[in-house]
Amino acid sequence: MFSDVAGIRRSGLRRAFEISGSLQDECTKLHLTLLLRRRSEIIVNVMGSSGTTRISFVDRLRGGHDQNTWMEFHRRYGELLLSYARRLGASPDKAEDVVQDVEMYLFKALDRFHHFGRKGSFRAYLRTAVMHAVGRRASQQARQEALLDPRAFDTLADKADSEDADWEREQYLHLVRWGLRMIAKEFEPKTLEAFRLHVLTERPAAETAKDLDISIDSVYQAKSRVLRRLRERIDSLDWEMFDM
Amino acid sequence: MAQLVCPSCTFSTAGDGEVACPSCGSTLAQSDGSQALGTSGEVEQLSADVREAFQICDFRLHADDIGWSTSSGFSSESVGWLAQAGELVPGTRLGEFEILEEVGRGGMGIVYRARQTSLNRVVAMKVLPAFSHRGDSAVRRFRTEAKAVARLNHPNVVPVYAQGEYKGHLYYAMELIEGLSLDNVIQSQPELLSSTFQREDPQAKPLASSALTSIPIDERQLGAEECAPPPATSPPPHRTLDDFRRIATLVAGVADGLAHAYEHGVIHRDIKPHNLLLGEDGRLHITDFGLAQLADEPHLTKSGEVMGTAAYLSPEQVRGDVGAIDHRTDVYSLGATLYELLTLRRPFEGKTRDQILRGICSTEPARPRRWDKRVPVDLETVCLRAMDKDPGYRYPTALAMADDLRRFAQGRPIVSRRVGHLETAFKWACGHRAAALAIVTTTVAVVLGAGLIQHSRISGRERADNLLQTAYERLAYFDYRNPDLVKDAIAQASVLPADPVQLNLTRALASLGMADETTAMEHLDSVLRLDPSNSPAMYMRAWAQRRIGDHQSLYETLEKADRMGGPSTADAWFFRGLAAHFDDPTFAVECYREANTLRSGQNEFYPQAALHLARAHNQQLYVSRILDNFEEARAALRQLIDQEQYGAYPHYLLSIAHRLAAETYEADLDVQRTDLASHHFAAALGWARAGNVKDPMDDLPPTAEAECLESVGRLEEAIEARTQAIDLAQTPRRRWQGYHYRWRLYYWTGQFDPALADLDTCAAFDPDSRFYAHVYPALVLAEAGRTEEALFRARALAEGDRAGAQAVLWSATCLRLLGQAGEANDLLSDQADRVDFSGGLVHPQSEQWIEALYAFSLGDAGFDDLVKHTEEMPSPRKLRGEAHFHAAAKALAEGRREEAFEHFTGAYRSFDGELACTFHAKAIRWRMWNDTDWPEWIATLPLGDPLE
Repeated sequence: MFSDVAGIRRSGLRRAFEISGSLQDECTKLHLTLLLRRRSEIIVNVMGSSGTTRISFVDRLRGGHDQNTWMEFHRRYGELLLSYARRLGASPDKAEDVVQDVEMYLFKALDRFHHFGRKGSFRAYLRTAVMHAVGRRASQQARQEALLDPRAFDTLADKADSEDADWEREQYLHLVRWGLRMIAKEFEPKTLEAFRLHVLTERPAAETAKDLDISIDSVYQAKSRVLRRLRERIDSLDWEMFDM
Repeated sequence: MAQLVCPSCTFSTAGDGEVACPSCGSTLAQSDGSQALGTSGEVEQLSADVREAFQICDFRLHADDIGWSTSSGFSSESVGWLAQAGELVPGTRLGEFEILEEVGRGGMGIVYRARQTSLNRVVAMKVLPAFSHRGDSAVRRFRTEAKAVARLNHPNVVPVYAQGEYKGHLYYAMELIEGLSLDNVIQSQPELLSSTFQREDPQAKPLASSALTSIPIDERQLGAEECAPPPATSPPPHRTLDDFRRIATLVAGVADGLAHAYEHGVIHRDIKPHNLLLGEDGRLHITDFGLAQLADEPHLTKSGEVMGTAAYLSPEQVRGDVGAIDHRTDVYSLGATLYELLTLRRPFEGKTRDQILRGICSTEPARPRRWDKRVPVDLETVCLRAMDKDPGYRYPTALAMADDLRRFAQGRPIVSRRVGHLETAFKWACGHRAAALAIVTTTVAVVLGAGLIQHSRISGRERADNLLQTAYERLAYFDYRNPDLVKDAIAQASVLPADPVQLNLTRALASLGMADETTAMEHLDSVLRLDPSNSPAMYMRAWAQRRIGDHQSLYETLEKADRMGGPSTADAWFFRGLAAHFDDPTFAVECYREANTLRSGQNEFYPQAALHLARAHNQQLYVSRILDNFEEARAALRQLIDQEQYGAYPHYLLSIAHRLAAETYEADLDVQRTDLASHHFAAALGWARAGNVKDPMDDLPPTAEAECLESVGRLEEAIEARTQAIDLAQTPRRRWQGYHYRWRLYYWTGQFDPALADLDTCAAFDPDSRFYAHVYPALVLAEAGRTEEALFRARALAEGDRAGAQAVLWSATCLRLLGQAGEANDLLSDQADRVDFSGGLVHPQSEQWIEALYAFSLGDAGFDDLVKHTEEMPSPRKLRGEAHFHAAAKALAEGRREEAFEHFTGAYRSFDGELACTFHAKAIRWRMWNDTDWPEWIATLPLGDPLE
């Protein structure tokens, strides 16, 4: 792993792009590359002591020695953060900036944050980070630096345990997203497409059936089968697992 | 028996085979023995959840990760389906309403045509799409809208019938106005505004109109392909006075509606053509109170939230000054709408939203008559008064605006303009021939009464004039930077019937003294509106524009003011000097000199002009190193010192002047008067210390002392003086300047950690600077032997600022300074195709210049070509400095040390101010000059990436 990071550092921007080519968002790529470079300074010092038993996702993030972990973070939580930022009133563009702010923030603050022992506190922490970042982005004079005081973060993460129906809702919707993606491979493409047209786009069953050249019953079947499977999947999904 | 579920509604039953849903007629589907999903209600709930979950993203986003192959049959045509989620299809029923078709969309929702079955009438139905995704505030706002509007009952306000919620969609029903929104009218059918289309209006009598025929107005006629070209390209229609009267009547109706709303505690806050419907009845109807703010529920407005369409926002909305938003905000927006009706263009235009917003806050709209001479003066006056930047100068209520508009429409004089008495009488008499005669008899009595009132006004006026004159002279002639002394005088004068020109001029100057250019501009605009040829105001405006950094407008204002006769008074000359000060100190010196001469003609000394003359002189000396005006400046400063004015400031300026003179003598190879140089150095040091005695709490004398000591190479002492200046500095900006000059001293003396600490402090002051965070630390770190960190800083520069040509350029130059010629070249060529040349330009840089610089740095052009480029550009000297610096780094990296030194010297001599290459070059040149081995890392490190 060490050689990986050193590799990025040596080869400059171009190779870093190739390595992180699987990520959707160019900005995030660049952003992570920059983060990893800074990280690499630290890793040189910590490598000797790490590498213990099974460690949680957060710990892996904290170790910071694997660029894939950070990309995985983006994959796992990016939409949750984006969606919550939108719910808090951020415009689509701003919401994407907010997600980047949070990732940058997290990267810098993780080392100094010690509240991860408690259940769910990592997500509480994320929620606070989004709230902060939205506020910061809203007031234009905000500087990222001001956002990065880990002490302020500790206290806020405590507060973040308080009730927030919006956040609860967003977490649930996030599970819906993941659940659907996880079960998708269990279905025929046509079934999925019928589900997508009929349920997601609310296209009437008759038209969906016509479009896909299947019977109306098949459309209803698709809807009911996918939803039933989705319900099962969501019920078995567990944030504890998700955070691992 | 299986569970059967209706897919359209939520009906569910037990049964077999094909069964039609009893409630909506769809075929019921077998629920497939779904245990996990008990009732059909749960099915629909989960469906809705899925829709909501995928509103922000595509559910195929991570197809690779979860094995959802791209061959799943999705075609690209499905892109965009997300945007439609939440739309209602025709036939959908919401309570007693049935959706017929979509008729339009706005920021707050989709509008449908719908049928109210109970009353069998067609209504407009506004639905907020996917509200659950948009958070509570949108929902609350929506409810507020319906609640507020439900209270209103006015012919110019669209009535609301009902509101409710359906499957997470909030909706409300209102009267369907068959007509066009005003923005559509303006864009594509401006002829609908002409008087010939006027039908009925109880308030204005029909004017000589030949064709009162009804024409079908329907939005469906307005397919996108049928839209006329935008107004900018279409010729302005030929309009008659009657047309303008019709416009006035239309807008008066809207003002009536707003006045009615205000009486019910409703402020619209988003008046714009899009929200005004021109109905078949020939009236404008206000709709979309979606942003309405109930006066009794103020917490609904997030502070600082800017809503509505930019062009019609009032200055207080743009500033986010929630406390200042009231019914006069609507008056403003209606004024802006009237402006567009009169001119068929928006009052503030710009390529970006920012430009428009800046225009709203800081510039006066061009007079409507500028675009169309046919616009009547009175109507223009109404429009501009409604659009006054200061709510206090607008119509106090929408009703007052309506009254004035109606007066105009009826050919009576409006009240808001200061029209001459004769003109008023004439206008009035035209309208009331019969009454005019009778009135004459009572005139005598009225004149007597008015005389008494006049009298008390004059004495108040005199008092105000005296107060303002004293205040103004204090600011203009003595010290504009000390407006506290005149604050009270201005406050007193402003409650008296003061001359608005003098009042606003004084306010503007006081605002400039407090570095509040925006407010100053507003006051100046008020002055110039009343007195367009006021020469002090014009030059003060140019000065404010210079301080804002708006060079383009600055030149325009200066040119215009000069064309109108130039400065007429001493103070105008003084402001003209301030406007030119930084760009052209030589010219500024002349202005101050002229100001002083004019003032001497009145047997008065102009101390402030003398002070600034010395300042400009130093500036000029710094740049040109020609001592022509030295004696004049010295004499002026000596006089100020003798008169004990401005504390230690004249000492500081005199010290700087001597130091610059010394440096000039020292550097002048032809003269080489080292004896004169040391004489001036001694004087510089002496005046700096005298200033310190004069005012020990002022940070300027130690600053001058530090500069002097630095100049003679006594660096440790210079550090001490700088430290003292930093400690004394009263403003963060001055402290920052202290650090800015001190890091370099530490760097030269080999104290790398303090140098880095100072740079960190500077970076906190100016986080956008690429020098504090990257270039300078890279130099210091390299010198400290921390090569990798230095390289990291240099590289990070190009990453942090994606696609900025300047960032890439500086990253490469920084790498070259660190000896990485190969990597620098790679970086430049890798990024050449994707960088953005237009970002982060500093005056006088231009996009072409950055492109030329980049090409040179890349090796595509020679230095001579680059220098040739500068000749066609403004401030070629400054740009040449930049050219020299990048050339120097290139030469250094390629091992041509002598050439590099020449270029650094060239950059140092450019004295380029904001571009700062003089500063960079001085830092490096000093090292090269004092250490013939510098930079040693170029010899010790291999070329190319050291880690490879």
